[in-house]
Amino acid sequence: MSKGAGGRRRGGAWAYVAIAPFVLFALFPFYYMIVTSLKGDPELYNLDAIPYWISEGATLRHYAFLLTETLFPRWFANTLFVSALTVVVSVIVGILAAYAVARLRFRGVATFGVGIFITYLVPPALLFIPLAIIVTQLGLSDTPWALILTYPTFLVPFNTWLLMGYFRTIPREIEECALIDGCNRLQTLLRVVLPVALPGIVCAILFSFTFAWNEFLYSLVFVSSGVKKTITVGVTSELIRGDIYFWGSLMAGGIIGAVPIVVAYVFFLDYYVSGLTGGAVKG
Amino acid sequence: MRALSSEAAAGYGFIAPAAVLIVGLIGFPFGLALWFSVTETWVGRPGPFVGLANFVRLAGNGTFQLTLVNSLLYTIGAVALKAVLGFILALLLLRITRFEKLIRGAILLPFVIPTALSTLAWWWMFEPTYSVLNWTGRALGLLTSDVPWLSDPTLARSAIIVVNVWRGLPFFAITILAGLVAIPQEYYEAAETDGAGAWQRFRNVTLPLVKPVLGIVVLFSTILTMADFNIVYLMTRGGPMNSTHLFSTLAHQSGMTSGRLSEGAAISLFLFPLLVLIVIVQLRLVRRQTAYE
Amino acid sequence: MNRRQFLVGSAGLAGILTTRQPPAFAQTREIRLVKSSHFVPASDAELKRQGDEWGKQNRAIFQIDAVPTGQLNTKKAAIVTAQAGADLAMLWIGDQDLYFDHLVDVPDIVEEVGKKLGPWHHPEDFKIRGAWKAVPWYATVWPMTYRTDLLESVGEKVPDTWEDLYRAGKKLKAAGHPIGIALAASDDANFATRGLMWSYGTSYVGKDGKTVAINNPRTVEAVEFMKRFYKDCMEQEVLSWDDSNNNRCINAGKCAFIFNPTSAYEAAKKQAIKVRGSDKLIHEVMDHALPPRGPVERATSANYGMLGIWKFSKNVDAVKDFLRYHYEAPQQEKFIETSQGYNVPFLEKPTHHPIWSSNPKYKFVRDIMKYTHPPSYPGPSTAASQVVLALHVIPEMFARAATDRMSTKDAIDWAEKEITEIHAGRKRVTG
Repeated sequence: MSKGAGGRRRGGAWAYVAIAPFVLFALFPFYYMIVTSLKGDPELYNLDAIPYWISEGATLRHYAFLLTETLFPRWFANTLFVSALTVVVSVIVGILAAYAVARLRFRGVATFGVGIFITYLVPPALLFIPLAIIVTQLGLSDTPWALILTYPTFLVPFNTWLLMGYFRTIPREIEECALIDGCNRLQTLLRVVLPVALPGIVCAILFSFTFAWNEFLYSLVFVSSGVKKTITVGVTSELIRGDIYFWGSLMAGGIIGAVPIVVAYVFFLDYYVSGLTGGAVKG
Repeated sequence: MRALSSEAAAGYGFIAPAAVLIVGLIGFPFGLALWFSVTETWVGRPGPFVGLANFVRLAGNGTFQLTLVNSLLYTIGAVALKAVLGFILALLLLRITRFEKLIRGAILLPFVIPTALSTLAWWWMFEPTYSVLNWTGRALGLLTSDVPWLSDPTLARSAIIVVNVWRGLPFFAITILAGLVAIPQEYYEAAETDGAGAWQRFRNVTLPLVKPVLGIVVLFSTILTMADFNIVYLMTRGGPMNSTHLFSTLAHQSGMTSGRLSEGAAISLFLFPLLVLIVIVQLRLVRRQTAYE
Repeated sequence: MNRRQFLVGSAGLAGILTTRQPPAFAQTREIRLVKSSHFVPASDAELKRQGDEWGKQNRAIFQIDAVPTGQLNTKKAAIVTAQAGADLAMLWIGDQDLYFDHLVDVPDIVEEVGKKLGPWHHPEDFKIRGAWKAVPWYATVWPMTYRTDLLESVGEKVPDTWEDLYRAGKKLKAAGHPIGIALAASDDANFATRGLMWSYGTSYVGKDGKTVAINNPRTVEAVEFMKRFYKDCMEQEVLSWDDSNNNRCINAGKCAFIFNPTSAYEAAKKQAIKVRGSDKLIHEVMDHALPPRGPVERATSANYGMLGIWKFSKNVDAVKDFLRYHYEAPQQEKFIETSQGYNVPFLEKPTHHPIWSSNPKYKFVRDIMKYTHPPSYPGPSTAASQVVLALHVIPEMFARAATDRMSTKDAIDWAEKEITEIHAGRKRVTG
């Protein structure tokens, strides 16, 4: 681990015993979702069946229904599109802003820094109603652009704050060398700073992607056509007919909807952790 | 001289996109929300200026007052639980060396998965007819009748706190863990040579050095929890009898579903002074702590 | 800014932005209808088929935007805000007030259809400030759905009055099969509780739609009845029900009575659900009944759907033409048929459709319309009445009193205050 190596002791068995309930608590809902998504309807809705496992034969019917008879594939594609572009916008804008605040001196940089932080006091829960009107009047209602342009309002401040920390740890000499060599600020940023700050950037990409993939409120309010929805809104609003819920497919949708994130963070677990901790500890 | 102005030029250029975004998609909507809230505006039908009438009326409205209480209970309850349990979990994670990645991964899972989707699973777990919790209780002989998880105000409030804690605990645990790991071993060794026992080492070395990290995490989490939407919207829709409504869900119901935009705007604007207050209070607390050291 | 879908075809720019120009015969128009997705998918498919059929003869492409019921209001709001996005919309009764300035007057259509298929049932219910702003479409009726075998097992006959239901409910709950009337934020709750109030001869609003009339002795009687009913016949879970919970309750074999459209029965039939603990099919022991009678009358409410044309549509005449087509006898008949009787038009002639006499479990439909009123009864449906619905004030009032969270008087006072405020707010805008 990082500096200090403080406090890490080899734990006795009791630590593993004590942590077991936490692990169980964390994982049980997923287990339950998987089991429910593989249960046949008769067993699923049978009050006398045992909820913890499948006794009457597992079935892939809910997954098949989800993938062939609902708009789930479209939602998946939409979410991928929105998330990818959100990452591009919010990471690029964040890199630029972070570098400016961390390294450049000019009138208003402090104000800008404070302004970035103040945006957290105006969360989506506050803005969604007027923003819905604005988005609609811009003609973006029911399009992925409504999301691609509004998600960065949350992500740019976060990325800025995250990357500021990384940029500040880069020795000034490296940048000064580049400047003396005739690079302008942008070139310095691209050629010298970014390669060194790559871990931070990977982190920003991961967080931005996760946020966009998981977002619900703006997506709910800005997009209402079935074919345009993202996974979170599609699964929670369209797997019903009037007043009948398709529970098996709902759970299946939940599982498949989570897969990309799980895959991403299995590969990049350390980046997630360092991202979560980076800002807080360096901060 | 030239270097300075090109630095400034670069500076302004670099922050321009972010500034445009923030002014246009945060500042402007905020202004619009303020405008809506001081008028009587319905969808497709702008209305007259009413001054502070909406706020005054809301302050005296039973449902709104209940929402304020709900939000405070929810935020304080959830954040307190996350902080305590997160600390415990972090201490445990410190001691885990085998299967470290696997266990940390499992712990982190609830935080990275889309909340909207995992809330569905919790909803099914609390569902009146099919709740697995009730089933288990009955099977173990602990329950004789079903527990009305989502129909009793206290239980419903507890249920949403449980889901929020389930989701947010990893954030606390992992961040506090990083804070713990960053404490140099020498401090503990020094304390031990001074004759300090385990509890004293914890109190005098661990706690003070983790406090700044804890402070930041608590601050972030308080803001995000107070502004939560997904869990309540999907699991209880504010019920039973409005006992789980948060500002965001009440604003959605009163503003969007019913078309009365000014109402929704006024309700959600109450969040702003609350969040400002939270930030001021917590920053002051953190500063006071570090001042003592 | 215009967000009509681009038509596939000509690579050039010419044919694409048809909606920016006045419809010319050489160009294909696009008509878009936004509605809630139907519980019976075949009904939406039939509507599309009719649209395509009509479109072929009129050089138009007919599109349906079906959104989940809970999101229809938000969708309409977005369309009105943008002044674009659809030509025709499914409105809930009361929307004609909310969107009064944005809807085309349609007395011509109403009169024509009335002559062909009429007379209209209770036409005054649908007018707003004397104007026809939308064409009444269909109702989704709300009977009682119940288990015939369970009722028999406690020695009761089909309840006629609320007191009958109470007596039967008490026995049924004791036998482990409570009654399920939602007292929560759902349509089921809104309609069932209004039915209860009306059957006691009271309502929350007066005939003018403006006077808040909820605070009177008859309301007290109704609330007191529900207090008894909740304690002796129902379980606490009804306080958190959404529209799907009661379906699950009865189909799981738990509830004996629910207030719900025919969706529960249909789902039981379709999924061949069995009675809990046996091999019997549950739909064979399910039936529907008219809502109970109170001291004054028998009453219930329903979802009242209408069709409205947006003023900003570029194809108003074409849409009117489609409506004339849709409201012809053969189309109406198919529309009813494919919905398996779910859609109940407000016209006399189509409601003689054999589908409702063919299945004995649907016989109630013709009769129930006699006792069904719009949610704003006895007042006209307005934006304010829609808000009272959206905030679920009436069920919340009953819930507070039934759980003793508030005294009966306090609960009614609370509801009165909320409704008065909603009316006052709307008044500031419309005067």
